[in-house]
Parts: sequence; C-alpha cells; structure tokens
Amino acid sequence: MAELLAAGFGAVFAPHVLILIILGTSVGIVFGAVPGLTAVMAIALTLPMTYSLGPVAGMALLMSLFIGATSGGLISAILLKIPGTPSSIATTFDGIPMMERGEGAKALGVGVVFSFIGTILSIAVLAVVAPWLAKVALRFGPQEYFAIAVFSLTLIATLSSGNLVKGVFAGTLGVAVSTVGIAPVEAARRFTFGMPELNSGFQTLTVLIGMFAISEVLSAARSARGMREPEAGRVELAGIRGFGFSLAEFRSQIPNALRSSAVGIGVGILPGVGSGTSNILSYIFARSRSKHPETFGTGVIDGVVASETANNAGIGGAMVPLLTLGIPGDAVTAILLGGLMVHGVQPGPLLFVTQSELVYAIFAAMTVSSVVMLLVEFFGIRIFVRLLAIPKHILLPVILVLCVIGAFGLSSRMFDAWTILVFGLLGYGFSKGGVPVAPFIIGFILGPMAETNLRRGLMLSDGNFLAFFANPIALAFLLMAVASLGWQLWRSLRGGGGAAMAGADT
Amino acid sequence: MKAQSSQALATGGAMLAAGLAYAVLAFRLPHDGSVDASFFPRLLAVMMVLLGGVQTVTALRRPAPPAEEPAAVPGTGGKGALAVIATLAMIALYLFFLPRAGFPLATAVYLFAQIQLMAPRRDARATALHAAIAVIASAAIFALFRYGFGLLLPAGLLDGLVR
Repeated sequence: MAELLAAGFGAVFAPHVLILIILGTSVGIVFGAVPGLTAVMAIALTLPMTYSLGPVAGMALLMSLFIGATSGGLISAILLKIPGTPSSIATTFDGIPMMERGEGAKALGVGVVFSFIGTILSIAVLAVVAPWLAKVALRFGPQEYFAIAVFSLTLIATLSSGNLVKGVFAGTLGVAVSTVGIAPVEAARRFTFGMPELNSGFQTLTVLIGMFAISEVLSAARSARGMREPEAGRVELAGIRGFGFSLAEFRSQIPNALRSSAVGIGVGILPGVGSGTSNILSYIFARSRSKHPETFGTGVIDGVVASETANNAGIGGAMVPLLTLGIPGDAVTAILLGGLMVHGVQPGPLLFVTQSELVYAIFAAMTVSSVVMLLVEFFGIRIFVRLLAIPKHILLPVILVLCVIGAFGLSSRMFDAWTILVFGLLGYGFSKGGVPVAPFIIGFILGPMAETNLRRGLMLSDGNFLAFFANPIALAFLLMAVASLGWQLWRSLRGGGGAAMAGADT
Repeated sequence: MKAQSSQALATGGAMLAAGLAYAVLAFRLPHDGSVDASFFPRLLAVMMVLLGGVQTVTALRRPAPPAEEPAAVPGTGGKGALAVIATLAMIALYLFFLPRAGFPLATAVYLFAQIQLMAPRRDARATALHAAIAVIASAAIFALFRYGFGLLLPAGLLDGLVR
C-alpha cells in the first residue's frame, strides 16, 4: 500500500495534474460559495472538459471540484446567511450568529480548518478500511434504512427547541412536499395535477434555493430601503491572526471533530444519504453531547465544527461504495461514476486489484486538493470577504440570477426556475411566521427514504410491520427514535409550562 | 402584544389550512386498504391537521408573551411590504420574459429594476452605475455560462447576434 500511495502522489505531482487540482479546487470553492451553484453543477459542467485528459488528470480535476465545492458552501453560509450547498445548512445555525456578533472571521477560519481535517480523516479511512466498510453497508436493507430515516426525522424535534409544534409541522410539511411526484413501488402519480414536470417531484436544489436564497432576497427587499449602509456582511479581519481562533479552542474541538468525522464518514458510506444529511445529523449529535447544548444556535464554534467536519468527511465516505462497489452515494458521486466510466475505469471490488495505481492516485489527488483547499480558503478569505462585502442591493439580485441559472441548468426547464419562486414565498412565510426552515429541509430530504424503505420492507415481509421490530438494527434505531421524541416532548412540557410546546411565540 | 397574538393566530391558521388542503388531496388518492401510495400522505395529513389545530387553539387560548419590539428600521412597515410585493412581481416577470426576450435582455432589465428597488440611493449617478452593472453583469454571466460551461441559456431576441 505504501508503494502504491507513493506512486499515486508521484502521478499527482506531475505539473499539469497539479495545476488542474489547484484550478479545480478554486473553481469548486466558488461553485460551493455562490448559492445556486453546487458541486453537482460544477462536476457536471466540467465532465466533458475531461474527455481529452487522462484518467488520473481527469479524476484529479473532478475530485478537486468535489472537495472545493463541498467546503465552499461555508463561505456563503456564514457571510451571506445562505448555505451555498445542502452540505452547509447546519453551518448557518451557529455561523450566522457568530457573523452577526462580529466573529465572522473566526467562524470562517474554524470552518476551513475543520473542513480540511474532516477531508483528511475521511481519506485515511477510505484508503485503509474501504473494502470492510463497504461490506457492512451492504448488509443494510430496507428495514434498517427506514429505521434510520425515522430516527433522523425525530431528531427534527431537537432543532425545534422553543417551537416544537411549528418545528414538527415544518418537518411534516417537508415530508409532504417530498410526496409530490411518482410514488415508490407502484409508480402512482401523486399531487401532480396533470403536470408532467411534477412527475419527478421537486428537485432538492430548487427547494433549497427557494427556501434560503429567494426568501433572503425578499427579506432584504423588505428592509433594503431602510439601510443607510450595506448589510453587515463585512468581516473584520484586522488583528486576526492565523485562522482566527486559538490553539486552546482548536484542542477543545478535537473530540467534536473526531465524532463529526465519524458521522460524516458513516453517513457518506450509506448510499442515498449524502452530505446534505450528515452535516445536520452531526450538528444534532454534537449538541446532544455538549455540556452546554443550550448554547448551540447562539453562535458557538462547536456547531460550525460539527457541520463542516462532517460534510467534508462525507466525501471520503461517499467514495467508499463508489470505488468498491460502483454504487454512487449521492448525485455528486453519480456523476463521478460517469467520469470514471468515461475514462474506461470500471468501479467495483476488482478495481483495487486491476487498477490500484489509479485508485491510489485518486487518494493522493484528494489529499493534495484538501491542502490546496486549506491554502486557497486561508489566503483567499480576504478576497472572498471583499467580494462578499459588495453591497447587498447589488449582490443579492446577481445571486438571484445565478440561482435561476442553477435551477434552470438542472434540466433546462423554466419550471424549475418557477419552483424556486414558489419555495421562496414559502420560506419567506416561514420567516414571518417564526417557523424553522431546517426541519422542513430535513423532512424533504429524508421523507422519500423513509417511505420507500417502509414500502420495500413491507414487501419483503409480506406486509408484516413486526418484521421491522424483529430486525435488531432497525429495532435499535426505532427505539432511539421513540426515546428521542419522548425526551424532547418531556423537555418541552417541563420547560415553560407548555409555552414551548404551543410555539405560540412568533 | 396584540400584533404578536394576531401573528401567532395567523400562523396557526395557515398551518391548519395547509394541513386541511393536503388532507383533501391525500384522501382523494386511490386506496386499496393496504399500505399503498396513499398511506404516507394520509398519515402526514392527519399529523399536519393535528399540529395546525394545536397551534391555532393555543394561540387562541394563550396570548403571546410580551416581546421586545424590533428596532424601527426606516422604510419598513408598509413600504417594506410593498417592496416585497414589487420584488415578487419583478422576479415573476423576469421568469416570464426569460425564455421570450432571452437571458441577456431579461436579466439586464431585472437586475437594473431590482437593484434600483433595493438601493439606498437613487440619484442620477447611482442609477447610471446600477444600469452599467446590470448590463455588464448580464453579459458576463451569459458569456460565462453559454460559452464557458456550455449551458444553453436562451438568447431570445439576441439569438442572431450571439450565434
């Protein structure tokens, strides 16, 4: 393995490959930072450009885009209050309060460093334990996946503190919105109103763009004329040393980072569950394990660390089933699969035997790209800060246009562009009504997973619900779900005499 | 306090209305008595109606606690609501004209209108600057995506020019 790794690094340090990695990482960061542009788009748009490149160069470029884009989302999540990608949703929970408190540079620095750490840890895991981890994940069937989805959905309650009813409603509404389209198993149309565009339901990107970006534009429009100065998207960099946080703070976050990496890697390995989920799950776990959970959401670096470590750790995790089994874990790895096949590489168990040099070159490219990401974001943050210090009344309309392009570019349909307006209205309504957005997003993402696996599990057990409880892994997750919900309910009823339960506050 | 109580009630009402609307649609789905395509939607509909009902009843029975008034921001209130409506209208018009007039023209017009709406200053110099930004940004974005990334954004009325 050491020899193969050395050979891999040798291949990656070829001048043209190194340049591609630097370019790819930088462009990926931009795609991740700008709302409406995502890793999926970056890789999909760049894939044709790799046709003339060799396998190592081509995969190095695509992996760099992946890593850069996954990390880049934290920049807009903190500076613009809009997650650049689904993998940075949880970063906004504490990143925004830190930004508003004048600690934006610190939040950025923490996010960058721990993104790097998460990526490196996941690459190490990928390289060492890939075959074994893939076998474990293969054993998960519909019942296990359903139980995991239910458990994750009940964790919505932990994101709804003080607004339990509204939060659970938002999550339920998110699941409801995800039922639009063709139903799993029997492929019946639901809530399509005769519109063929709705057969495949709503795209995650359009929901995200609408709920976050469009609603932000509407909110900014509401208060824009009252602003005497540009919105406080500025980050004070004077006096900031290094990455903006101390060595003591770094050391205090190591347990959090290790745990979050484990979550990110584990979630990344599970096919169909991507970094859009891992950052939120990791945040929830970090909060539950914290000695001061009430501080989460008020602007603590723990929240940023949990989110950004997990989402980048998911990169290595997602590569496990892709390389060892040829199973893409999410949309990004699905396109990477296409990239591998374009270059005549067949992913699967034999890949590590027949093309091990390429596999370790990919590991090396990911490692180098992580370092480049760290450097670009460290030295480039000042540039990003200046770029994002552009007055909001100029920046937001341009971002809206890019969001429209992002939505349109999914399938070249104006329908998707109209969809972001609809969800923008919904997101604005949420903000006016004091309804949290995060549960809605979680419900939307996990809903299909829950329903599909419920239906499949029942098919396997001939309609017997008890089969879910007879499965030990599924039972464990279901019991945790009940415990989680019960505990949140008890906390809500205990604290505030039901006021929190009522969510009557706005 | 009264305003906040009204808002809580409105939120509850909206939640209940959404739940009822979804319930009507969900219970109209074909159902064969087993766990079929209508099972999940029906379950969700019941949950939404219950939660909406809880929120509404609680808002009716318990007024919202006193909360700090947000700092008054000049230009908000009625003008703010108008700005939101205007923004919505502009976005809708932009999306309507995008495939018809083409990306460059529609985007330039939208950007100018939106920037002007949100700008704190609208004097002649600022307006000229905003117009220039709108045109340049529109052209740059179009060129980047059409020629750089190969995304076929509609050129519309300028189709003959960009080919």
